[in-house]
Amino acid sequence: MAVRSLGRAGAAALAALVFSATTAPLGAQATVALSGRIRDAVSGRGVASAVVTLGDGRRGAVTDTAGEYRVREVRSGVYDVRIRAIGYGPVTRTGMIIRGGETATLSVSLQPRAEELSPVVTEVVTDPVLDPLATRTEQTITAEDLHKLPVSSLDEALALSAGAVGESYRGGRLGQQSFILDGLGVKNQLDASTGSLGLRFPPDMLTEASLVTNGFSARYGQAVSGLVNVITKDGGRRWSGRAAYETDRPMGRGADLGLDRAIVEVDGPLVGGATVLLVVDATGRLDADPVGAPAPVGALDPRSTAPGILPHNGGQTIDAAAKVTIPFGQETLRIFGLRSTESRLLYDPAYKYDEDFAPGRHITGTLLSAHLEHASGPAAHTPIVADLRVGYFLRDFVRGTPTAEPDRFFGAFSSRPVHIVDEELARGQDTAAARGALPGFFPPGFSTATPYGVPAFFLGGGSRGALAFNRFRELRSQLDVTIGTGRTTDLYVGGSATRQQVRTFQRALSFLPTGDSVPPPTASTFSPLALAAYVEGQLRVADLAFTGGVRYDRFDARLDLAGAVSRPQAHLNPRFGVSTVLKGATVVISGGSFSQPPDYQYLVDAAFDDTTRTGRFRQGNPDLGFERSWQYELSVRGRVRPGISLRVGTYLKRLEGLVASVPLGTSPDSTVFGNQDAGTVRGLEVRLEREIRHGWGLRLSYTLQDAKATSTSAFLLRRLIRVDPMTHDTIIPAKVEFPLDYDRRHGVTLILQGQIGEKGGPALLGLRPLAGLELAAIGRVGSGLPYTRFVTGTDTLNATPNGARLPASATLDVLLRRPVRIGRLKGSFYLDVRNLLNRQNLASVRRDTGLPTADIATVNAMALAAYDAHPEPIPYESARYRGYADLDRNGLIEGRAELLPMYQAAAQDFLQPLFAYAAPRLWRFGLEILF
Amino acid sequence: MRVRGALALCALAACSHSDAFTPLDTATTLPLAAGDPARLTYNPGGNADPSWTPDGRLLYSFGDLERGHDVCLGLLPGSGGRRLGELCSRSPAEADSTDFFEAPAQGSDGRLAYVRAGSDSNSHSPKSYEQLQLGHLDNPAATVLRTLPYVAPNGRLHTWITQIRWLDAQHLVYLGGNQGTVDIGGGATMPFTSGLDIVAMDLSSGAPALSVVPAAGDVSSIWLAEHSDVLYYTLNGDSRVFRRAVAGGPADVLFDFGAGVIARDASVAGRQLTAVLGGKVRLISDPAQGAVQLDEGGVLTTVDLTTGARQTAPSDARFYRRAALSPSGTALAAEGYPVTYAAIRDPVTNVVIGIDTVVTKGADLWLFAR
Repeated sequence: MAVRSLGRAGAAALAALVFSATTAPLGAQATVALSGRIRDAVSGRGVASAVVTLGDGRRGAVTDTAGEYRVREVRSGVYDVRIRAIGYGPVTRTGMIIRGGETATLSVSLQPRAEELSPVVTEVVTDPVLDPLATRTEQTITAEDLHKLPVSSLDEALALSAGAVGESYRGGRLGQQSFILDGLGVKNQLDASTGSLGLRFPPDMLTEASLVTNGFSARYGQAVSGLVNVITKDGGRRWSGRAAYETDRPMGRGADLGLDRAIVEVDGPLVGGATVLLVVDATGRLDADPVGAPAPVGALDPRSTAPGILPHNGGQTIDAAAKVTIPFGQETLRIFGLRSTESRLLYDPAYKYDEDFAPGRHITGTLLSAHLEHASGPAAHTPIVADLRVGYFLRDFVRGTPTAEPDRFFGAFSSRPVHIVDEELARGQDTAAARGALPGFFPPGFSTATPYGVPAFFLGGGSRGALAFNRFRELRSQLDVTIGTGRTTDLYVGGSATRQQVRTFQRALSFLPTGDSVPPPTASTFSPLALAAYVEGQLRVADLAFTGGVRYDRFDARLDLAGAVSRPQAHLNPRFGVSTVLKGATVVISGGSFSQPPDYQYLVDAAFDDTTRTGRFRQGNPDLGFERSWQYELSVRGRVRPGISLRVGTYLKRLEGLVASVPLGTSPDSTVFGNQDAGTVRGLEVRLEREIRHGWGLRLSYTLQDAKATSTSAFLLRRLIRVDPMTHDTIIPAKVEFPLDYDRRHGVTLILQGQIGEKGGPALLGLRPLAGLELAAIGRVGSGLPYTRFVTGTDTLNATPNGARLPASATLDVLLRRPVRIGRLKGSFYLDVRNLLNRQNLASVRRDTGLPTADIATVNAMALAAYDAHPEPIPYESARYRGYADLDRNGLIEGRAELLPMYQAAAQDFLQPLFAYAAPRLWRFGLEILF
Repeated sequence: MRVRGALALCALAACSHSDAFTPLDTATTLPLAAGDPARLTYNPGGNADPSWTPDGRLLYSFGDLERGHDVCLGLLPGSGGRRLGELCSRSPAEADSTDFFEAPAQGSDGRLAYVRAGSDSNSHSPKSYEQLQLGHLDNPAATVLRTLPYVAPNGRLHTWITQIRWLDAQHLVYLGGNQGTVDIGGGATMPFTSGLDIVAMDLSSGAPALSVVPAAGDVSSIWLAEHSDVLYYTLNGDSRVFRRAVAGGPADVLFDFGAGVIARDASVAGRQLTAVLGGKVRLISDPAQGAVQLDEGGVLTTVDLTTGARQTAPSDARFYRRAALSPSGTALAAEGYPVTYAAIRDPVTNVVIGIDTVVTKGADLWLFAR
């Protein structure tokens, strides 16, 4: 097998490409084409019928009479390319790097064999910046990026992309992206807008990943804002691997947030040319969602002396992946499996002092896929590459009250996952049994474990009683065929059929029987069917490339609810791209229509407390249609100087049919969903890149964005009635516009990378302690995200939704890596620091004050109300008795003088804006060993 | 670098993580102030029914002001301190009612027998239901053993259950009695609870079976000796403490406090006998209720059954009821009712003609060391 691990063999070569954010033809995501021209070194004429093969020789092409060739659908990786022609000496180009998102070009001049001279290889690699065949906007993260930059996961790496705000891309909502794993679409179609994919792709299994935000191929659907294209590596030709362990243990109290991460990757050959790749990536955190909130001022608050780890906020994630690649004949079979589990305890401020009743969740993601690839031989007249992929994806989610605290044998690692009270009832979707109070649930009361003792704010004795389960699984069959219809044209056709199954269950306030104020349990089971087909063509004429295609998407929820039956939904998505080189710069114009089925969770009823403009009972709408977008982009890219490139792109995206909840009838607690919302996103993205030269390089990106929602929702219109100051007429707006949730107006990301040579740095006692030292720094500055202000003490909007903005945020992340040898093994130590300056970035604020903290009047008002509700004295024998509050030591905490200060301290504690603050400075010390 | 690398790896994994903050531990197993007796409770809502658990802790019922007028069960350390556990009505459906857990007794297997009652209003009567239940301190789910009122096997109506004792894991003994109001003269009435019969309950079969243990009158208190079926009891208006086997056989007099004394709330551990004597207690005859003993507390007296020596607790500040000796006999817990004294004046001449003993209704629990 010629494809080799990028981890080490290609590391040096890839380092030069680390900063390239590149583009590629519309028609390929995980694969690219290798093309070029074979010439006679003496005459300069093209060599006809030369055979160009990759790797083990099963893939390749034959040159035409002009000596040109094109090998289609080549997976990203490092290849040996061999050229043979009658009358010429063979030439082998080893270590040819082929990356997704690029047009790989290899041109060679062959020496006639009779002259017995060494072959002269002339390699002409197309400048990826100027490549006119690339029409899509793609920002690539290589395996080397993931290794050398201060990022730990694919999500963190993708967040470095221009236009990304966390997992929102170009102003879109969460869940408007789809994952493409080795060409196979994977998406949590049930609740992507509010939940995770359930799968995490261990960085050690990746060749590269890229974020595609516009002009993606008609081959791909299920997304309106972006594609995350993930390419895994195959096992290598020799056994090798990597083991790493990282932790923040040495930092001690305050900065030690309970992190342990262990990674093991092994790959190598099996019998008959088959290879295998195994990866296990396990992370335990005692505080999986650390906050940079300031230490509280209240001396009784235990956080005042231990502001680091939040209790009951930890968990573990374990990702295990295996891949077997089996070549036979002209085919290659790849079998891939990935299982991700997450067990989390979730911090709930109300249960700060009674952790046993705080919620937890368990999510399992499983992906099994098989990929059979057929590629016609090098001599085929009409090259055809056919890929048949079958994938099984399962995401299982359960959330509620943990049955027990996890046993922690090492850090946050536990030998058993979080189990939820009455989990089996939820999995069984037993709504009849769930109508009564559920066993194991108790009504919460006021905590007796607080430092204040008083019965207020903090809960204990029982959980909130929420119980949720859902399971989404699908079996997807996908066929993609690439046909080389000519030297300058390619045709792509294919389609997919996906059988899905959805199961949901929700129960709120489980300690009570359902009734007047308790919504009934909800459950659903249905099996949607999704179909898609596409055709796309690419035409290349000199420096002009045109790509056009159309995609047909259809889904049928096959959901039959009382009084409402789902209907099949279909949508046609044309897409195009044109690119050419004008005066040293490449200009790309692209556009297209994109669509995705709505989250299936919105098709069915749900009963739970929700914050997205819904009440406790939410009525599903089985007749929801596609969420859609139209995107247009004009981009120009070129080289300012050798090694320095500049890309400027401007885009317009129109979002339509976005799912939104609207009030149902007059009940404020009941809503129904519809394809209600629309929005417009305009943006400008500028990226300046300096390739790594002389030991350093940088990438600077700036994003200017204006993302607005347009709504005619009666819910909003009713709340925005104005009175004309002149006529005193009531004015009801016909529509309202307001910023979308992820409308970050300005975003700047600077990535700086440098390395001291193997023998560089100052000498100290015969040693060079800094030799080989690598430094990577990521600086980010972003303007504030919008949020909605309310009138204090009410749920009335005092302006349009998202009419206010958070303060700007900034972070600086740094990774230092020092190569070491341990025995015969190579490896490195590294120190990874996030938010090095420990800046307290605000992630949210109170909607009444616009500040993270409540004002003193609010604190006092809450305290007084709580005192008025419970003015009774607290006796000595009560669990609420606190000696320091009993000022006269008479065995009773009584009266306003003794009780009210305790209520005030409790209110101050309860209103602490912990999660208003983003992560504090985080440390990771790591050691990796390569073997 | 090799050695340093290996050392660093070991160091990374060896040091432990910091802990998250932990809630303040306010637990205490000591009373607020030292002394004998030591005051165990300060709850203004009332504290009653002290009952020792087999492992030496103290169960009792208390009025929970946080929950309105509810009465809950609490568990105290044997020497006093912070409550170790509570059993209260936690059902939101009962938020608009007054709910009672009273007369607790814990068996050797941890099960708790108690009286569960409810009232539809913010008062302790009338009760909408009253039951003898079996449950656990940490779980409100319970089994109903008997619903009141009921007719005892001897044909008498029992409207009240108190002083529940575990004979063994399958048998309970309790005092079945009567509650209501009596005419105390001058057109005034007074609520009362008064004992009637000793009832044995057999839990070994599916439905609890009742039998009445014979006694020569209306019973005012019962006590079971540790690890035996010897039953001690007192009778209304009587100075004697009786003894008999629950299983049957004749009764005899364990101790006689002498004529003119009404003995009640007797408890026995080893060779120690404790009883409440005198104080404010009277036997009246009500036309509707018959003979009723009204007891507002008395003087706590301990007798060494070997020597006959008596010891009396000071009673000028408080009267006691429901005295309970710990299983080891080293501690005694009792309800203590503050006592004040008021002059009784002639309504015409305003001359003091006597002293009235006024007993406060709400009690605290007191602990005597032995």
